[in-house]
Amino acid sequence: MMKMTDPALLRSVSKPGRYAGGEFGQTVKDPASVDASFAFCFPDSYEIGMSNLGVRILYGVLNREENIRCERVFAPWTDMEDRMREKGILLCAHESGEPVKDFDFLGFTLQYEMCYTNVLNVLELSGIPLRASERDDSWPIVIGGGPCSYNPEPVADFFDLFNIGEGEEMLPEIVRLYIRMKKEGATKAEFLHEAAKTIEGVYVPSLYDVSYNPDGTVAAYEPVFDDIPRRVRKRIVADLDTMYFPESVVVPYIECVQDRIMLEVFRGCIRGCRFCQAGMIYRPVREKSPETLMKQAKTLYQNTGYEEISLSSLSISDYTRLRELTDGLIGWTEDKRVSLSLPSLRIDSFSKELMDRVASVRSSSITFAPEAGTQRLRDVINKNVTEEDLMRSAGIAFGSGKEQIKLYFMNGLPTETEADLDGIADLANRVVDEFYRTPGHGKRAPLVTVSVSCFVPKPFTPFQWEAQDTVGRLIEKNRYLAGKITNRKVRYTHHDACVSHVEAVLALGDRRLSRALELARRRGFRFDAWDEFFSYDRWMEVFADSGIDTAFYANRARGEDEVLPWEIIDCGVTREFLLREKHRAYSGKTTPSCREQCSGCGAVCLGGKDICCPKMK
Amino acid sequence: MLPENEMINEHDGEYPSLPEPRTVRLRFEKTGSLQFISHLDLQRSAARILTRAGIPLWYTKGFNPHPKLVFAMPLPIGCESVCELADVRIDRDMDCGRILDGLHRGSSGGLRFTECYIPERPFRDIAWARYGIRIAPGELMSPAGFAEKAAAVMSEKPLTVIKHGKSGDRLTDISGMMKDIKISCEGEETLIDLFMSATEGSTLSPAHLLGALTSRLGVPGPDTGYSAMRVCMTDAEGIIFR
Repeated sequence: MMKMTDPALLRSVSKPGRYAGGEFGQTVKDPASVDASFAFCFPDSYEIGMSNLGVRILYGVLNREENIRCERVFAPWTDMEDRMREKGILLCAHESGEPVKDFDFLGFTLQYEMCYTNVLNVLELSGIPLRASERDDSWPIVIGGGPCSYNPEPVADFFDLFNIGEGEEMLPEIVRLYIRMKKEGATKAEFLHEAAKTIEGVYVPSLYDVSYNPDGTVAAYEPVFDDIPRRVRKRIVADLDTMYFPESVVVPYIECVQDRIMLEVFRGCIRGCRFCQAGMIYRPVREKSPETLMKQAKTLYQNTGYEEISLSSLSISDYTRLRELTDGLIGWTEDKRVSLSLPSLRIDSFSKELMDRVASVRSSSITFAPEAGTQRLRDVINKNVTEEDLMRSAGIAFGSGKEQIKLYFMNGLPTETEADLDGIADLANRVVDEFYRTPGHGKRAPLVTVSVSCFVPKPFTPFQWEAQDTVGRLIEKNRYLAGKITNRKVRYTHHDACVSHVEAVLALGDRRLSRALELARRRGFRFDAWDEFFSYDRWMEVFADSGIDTAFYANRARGEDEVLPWEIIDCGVTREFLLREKHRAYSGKTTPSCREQCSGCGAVCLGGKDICCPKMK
Repeated sequence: MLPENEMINEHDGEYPSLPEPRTVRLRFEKTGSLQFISHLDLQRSAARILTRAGIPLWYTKGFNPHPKLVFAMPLPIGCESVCELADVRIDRDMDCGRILDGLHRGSSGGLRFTECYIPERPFRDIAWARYGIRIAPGELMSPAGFAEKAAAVMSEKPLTVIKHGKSGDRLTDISGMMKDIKISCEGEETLIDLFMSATEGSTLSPAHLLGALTSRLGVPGPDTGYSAMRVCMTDAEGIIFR
């Protein structure tokens, strides 16, 4: 049978380099020399998947185990998929070209909800039955992880197991257990039970029964065995300095979205923005030392040849030893013509000195994220930045010759009024005025781009109980704002409200959504994260035909005593804290950062070395 | 892991600076799956390969310093080669043997560096490239039958094909752009061995010839197995260019 790497096939598709393999840094192992094989799938195109730091780390983590073989899998682009279906070609892993279905494990990293149809498509193209209940012991064990696994329920029926939290230690433990039990002749069911019982962070959906109330809300989760946890606590790596971090990574030949060294500086965020899921689920904040980071950066540079290093974190300027780190890096990067980029700068800590030091801000434009147009709403969401911060940062940027500034906002935030939307337009106008007020500004006219996304309530945030605005209302707000932005030096762009609605349904859903996803797959849905393939009307038809009321999931405010589908997971941050934060939002009260004062979020229970949580000190 | 304070490039101290940058020529093979990496992607990746190899690159001066790297002739996507050439400038006195050792460490799979030397001739002297093309006509016709028909097509004068260029598609007569054509059969395959024009502005790719054969004979078709290998490059007198 023809394989995905067949030259005749590769000649017939766009960007064949996506499937060719052979990149520097890939790990190729002899199947006969290992005890378990793991196909690690990023369910999107090669260029997106190869940009993910988690894939790079976990690929290395598994392959450094002598008896485990990990290979990469990506969603084939639509032209390749069409050819595969036409010729009956099965989806293959990148390194060996071996069919995915022949691996012991198929792991998916779930980075965004809109990739769910690709997950099912990858299963289908691999010839693997979609539902876990339809797969006997002969099929690979299908594992999920990544941020979306904090509410795994909409896709729970398709997975055998989820690893909740950080995988560096947990994933090898799972595979090692599998190897041991396979040798002992255990069944898949026995392995799943043992994993759920003994490995912290393992969630096996089939081992938990869900009951529902007459009103459709979740009544309870009940474990089917007494010896597995009632709630699955997320796993963290305690010490980032000693944690595995790849010293070499696969260097793609074809251009990827993130084509540079990604140096992970710290995990978690001290800020506590109330809409932000990452800021909650990655707690507690744990930092790497500059010494570790310097060593890792140098080794990665030597082993990859990349000419850019991006300091990766949720908010880089909150790194306590940033000056030390940038000084140390610049000490050799300038000589080597390696540029540094800091992709997540906050406007309250942006400085001219920092700007002068890093390459990413040497381009003609710079991005800031005030998120809301008025101080009142910024306080509601706990953004903790002021208009003065923004004007000061914009002034620094304009004074250094920049002419373009991009501002990120959200609409549909809880308590939002017309005044807040007016505030977005006013703020943009004031940034334009700041340009002309700044001595030494550029000669060309300024351009302020206002980019507005729609608020999507996310699990494990203080806004998890909130109703999302209806699509109609979001569109109305987008139109209203478009009418308010009349300044020719301000450009307005906004996200598609329809995509945000489907995203909310999938983010906040329960197990009943699996039938909609299955139907979506049967109707050929794929690459829904890509505008050119997303069809709102077809999604609404799928939801309607599978008996799903999208408003129940997306547009309904949840009761504070309601059992939420994702509460089978314990992410460390407590429900009490989230509720407290919700109430503070409605009173317009901000909460200080973890570094200023402990707000008692609960993540301290997870432990961790060098965390910023004052309770640990 | 590097010991703290170790210099980032372990070789920096070893090689004395050169008063003027030196150009070295690299010969390499691009085979197997690497044939599907485009010339543009290879260009983009080249600096990374050289950095991994620890080669002391010379950088251009100015606002956006970049290494100086020139390829002899782009290799079309889907075509293999055992005779690719690229010139790179270095600013330290690293000898060619060590450069080659470094490149062996910094490259992978179908990208294999085979020679490093001081060039004696400029790339503009390249006039012809020799290719070996293997086509398995499959069930459509026998290799011998295809060989006969292909020979007839290739002797057409004019032999026009559509060439895609920056300024759009244009009809080009390629009959004078091929020479020393030898067609034979081996098992299930037809072998075409020929020289194609490689002068600037008048370069012929195997894809053009294959396109001409497909449009006239239906072979190679979408599922036909074939391969194309660039074997060597020569000057106008037929002397191997290196």
